[in-house]
Amino acid sequence: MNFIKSSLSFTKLEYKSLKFYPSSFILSVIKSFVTMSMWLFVSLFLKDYATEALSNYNGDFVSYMVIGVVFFQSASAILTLPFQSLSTAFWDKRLEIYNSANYGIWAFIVGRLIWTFAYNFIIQLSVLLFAVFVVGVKISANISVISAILFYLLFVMTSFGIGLIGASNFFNLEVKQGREPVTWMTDVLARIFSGVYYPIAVIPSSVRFVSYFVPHTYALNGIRQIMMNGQSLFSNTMLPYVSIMMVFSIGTILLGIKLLNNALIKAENGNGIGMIV
Amino acid sequence: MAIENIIELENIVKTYKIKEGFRKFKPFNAIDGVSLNIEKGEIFGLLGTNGAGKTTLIKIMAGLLEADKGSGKVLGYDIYENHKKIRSNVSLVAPTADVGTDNNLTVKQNLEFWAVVYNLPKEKREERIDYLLTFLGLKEYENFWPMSISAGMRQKLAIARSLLVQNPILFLDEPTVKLDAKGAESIRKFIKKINVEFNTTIILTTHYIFEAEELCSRVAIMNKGKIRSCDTINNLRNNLEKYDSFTIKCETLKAKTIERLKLEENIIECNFKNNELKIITDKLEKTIDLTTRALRKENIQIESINTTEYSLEDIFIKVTTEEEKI
Amino acid sequence: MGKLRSEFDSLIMFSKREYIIWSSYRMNAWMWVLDTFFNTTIFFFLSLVTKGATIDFFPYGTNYVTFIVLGLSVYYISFTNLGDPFPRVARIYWGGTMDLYMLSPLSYFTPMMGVMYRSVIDDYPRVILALLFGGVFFGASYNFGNLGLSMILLTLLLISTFGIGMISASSFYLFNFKQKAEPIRFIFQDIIIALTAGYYYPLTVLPYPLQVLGSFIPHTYALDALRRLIIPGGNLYVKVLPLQKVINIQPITLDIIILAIMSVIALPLGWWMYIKGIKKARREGTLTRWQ
Repeated sequence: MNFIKSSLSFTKLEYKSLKFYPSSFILSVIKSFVTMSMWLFVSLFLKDYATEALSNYNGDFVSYMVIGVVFFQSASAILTLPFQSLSTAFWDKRLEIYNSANYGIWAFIVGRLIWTFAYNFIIQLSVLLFAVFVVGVKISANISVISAILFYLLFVMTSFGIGLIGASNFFNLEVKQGREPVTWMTDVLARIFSGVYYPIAVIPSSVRFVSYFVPHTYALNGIRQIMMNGQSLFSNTMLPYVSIMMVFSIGTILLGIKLLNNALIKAENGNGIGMIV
Repeated sequence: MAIENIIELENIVKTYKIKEGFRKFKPFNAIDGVSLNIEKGEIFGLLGTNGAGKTTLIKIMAGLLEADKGSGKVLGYDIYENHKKIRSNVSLVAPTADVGTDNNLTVKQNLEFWAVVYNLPKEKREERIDYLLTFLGLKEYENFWPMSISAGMRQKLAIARSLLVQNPILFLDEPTVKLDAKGAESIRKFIKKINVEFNTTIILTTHYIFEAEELCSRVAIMNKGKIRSCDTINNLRNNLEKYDSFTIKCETLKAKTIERLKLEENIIECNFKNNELKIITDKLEKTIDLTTRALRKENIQIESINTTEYSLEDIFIKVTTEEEKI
Repeated sequence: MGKLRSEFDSLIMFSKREYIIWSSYRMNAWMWVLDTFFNTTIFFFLSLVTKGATIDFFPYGTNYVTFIVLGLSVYYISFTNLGDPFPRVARIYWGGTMDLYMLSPLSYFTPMMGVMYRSVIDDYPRVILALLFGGVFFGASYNFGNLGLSMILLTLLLISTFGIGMISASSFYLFNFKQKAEPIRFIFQDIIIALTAGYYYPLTVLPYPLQVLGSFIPHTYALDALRRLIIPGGNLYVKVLPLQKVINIQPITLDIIILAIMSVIALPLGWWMYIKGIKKARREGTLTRWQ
């Protein structure tokens, strides 16, 4: 309970920061809309040529693309969150202070996770609703909202777990700013191999196997099944996706916690958590 | 010999707009009618409480900030018309050690970079950098990254950067604030050295009163944007209070002796308690002489004599508390 | 002459410093090269969605990968020239170094241009890499028969985007935009250019109002001309942009004229606004974070 309270105090801090710069929320919303629109136009450009490749999705390239982009954007923000949090706190000379608190930096990271999740959820939901009701992106009339949210949570937790693994490199590899290799590689592989922008079937067979190792493949396919084909979480079609995503989310989170804790201990025994002052 | 003023300021005013809520601003007089003359070759101290206006005044003198009203000249250049020329001929050390220090370059690389930016002649760069690194005790750290040396070392690096080019004026804004005693002592020695050898005019702000007492020929004490006092330390001390006091430790005194002393012309107050005779006088030396002769005449053994003079710290506290001009 | 020499030496020193910083992040350097490769890969795979059908994006030839690679090249240039000046000014401000640069004999511009080297090192070579990767791995083909004209277009694009970038940078001091998001850059880079520059699709895909909006950015004309010239099969005469349909001049000639006008307006305006911003900050005491 105290841990949750402590985390929520960091969430509140982020909220207060937003209140000071309210325009940044509006700009984030606009940016998400623009990104979605950009890929919408790409799909509009290629849709007439893509019918065959999208046969599993009724040839609807536009809906395929938009749903992929919206959910991918959301997960990307969570993926980079742990590392970015450590980096920001380090350069602001707050990391040691956070680490010396009762729950260490974990309350800080989880607090920011809660904020980023809520923030991005609102933004991406707005984008999705716009896409559906204004642009004409087609979703199933029988969509199970609960299934969509629960499956989306699995996707978020998996991204967070990978993010924690990447954050451990803040201390292990002494990467203090810029891009961290694990999250960067995950992002790159997801963009190319997980079917964000095109079905996996179009990827040359010699390299298609990479898709099976990227959690986003199952996440995006699962979300499209729910949203475009009206599948529920416990349907036969969805069960493989749910099982795999549960393994990914639990596995990556446990591994991420372990690696980051070890990295913190290593840093404490070595050069320290923060900058030398 | 005519005194040459290197800085002349007349009625300088600087007002900031401080944000007060959404789209509301409140004016704040950071400098409120400051007039100041600083002589060439002086080490001039600028003291004041936090928010007194010292940094704002330094920035105006250095050409980094435009005054709203008043007139002034630095090195003969007008502060409004020729601020670029002023900036090219002054050096400045900011109070934050990390300002201008690039964490991605080593200590030596940082200095090499700024040596070029400050247009130090190529043939002098290596020698000058080496000299500064050695003098400031940074030679063994020259290949270290700034974030792996202490804040004190980074402060020294900032000082070294400002001293790459020997400009006629050097502004030091709390230069020893993060340094240990030895480091601070070496900086103070260096300040005296460059002042003597190159006749560099130095304007120093510091919270360490003893530092100002040691280094400065004159000090100005600022409070709420105004200069409350500006003079040599001795003159400030003399002007502060007419009276001094001293204490003589001795064996028991007769009441008659104390009464006789009280009648003396220059003794304002006199009392004896716990084997200590405390006297307040307006003529310190004369009264000490008179009192000691009186005590010896009565065969009273004097164990010790301690005088109390007003220090610069006393002056500072009095000026900034009472807001009176001394 | 001496002053020019000193400015030039300082620019060289800035470039050395930025290169040292850039190369000290070795991992980032590798990621940077691979990023370019992966971006090109994504669009190559995207083109496979068409299952070998010939995509019609007349008058820009038929090679979709070349189409995309040219779009990516312009994107990288824009990212530096237009997108970078504002964060660089912010870096100088938050690092407290603006005062120190002002105390040097340098002009107002040299530090700004100097700190931009980092992005130049990052992004300009990506243009070459994108063309290379596209050609070597993904089937892009190029027609370099009009190389001189292409270089003129590229130069005008560099100047015009840098001018807009300087206008964006000036807002840091001139309009006191100290937050991360700056409106001019946001509106141009993140909205108008992202949607209407046509990096990944021809402008004709957009609704007509957006096509008109795209008429106000240099990227539209640069990409139109470069694609006609460099993509094999590109047509030099058919008019597709809104302005081309209104003004009776050959499309590429019009593209060059518009780019030249934008360059002549944007760059001096951007310079002027930047200096005004610095002067304003000097008056208000907001030149640097050190107070």
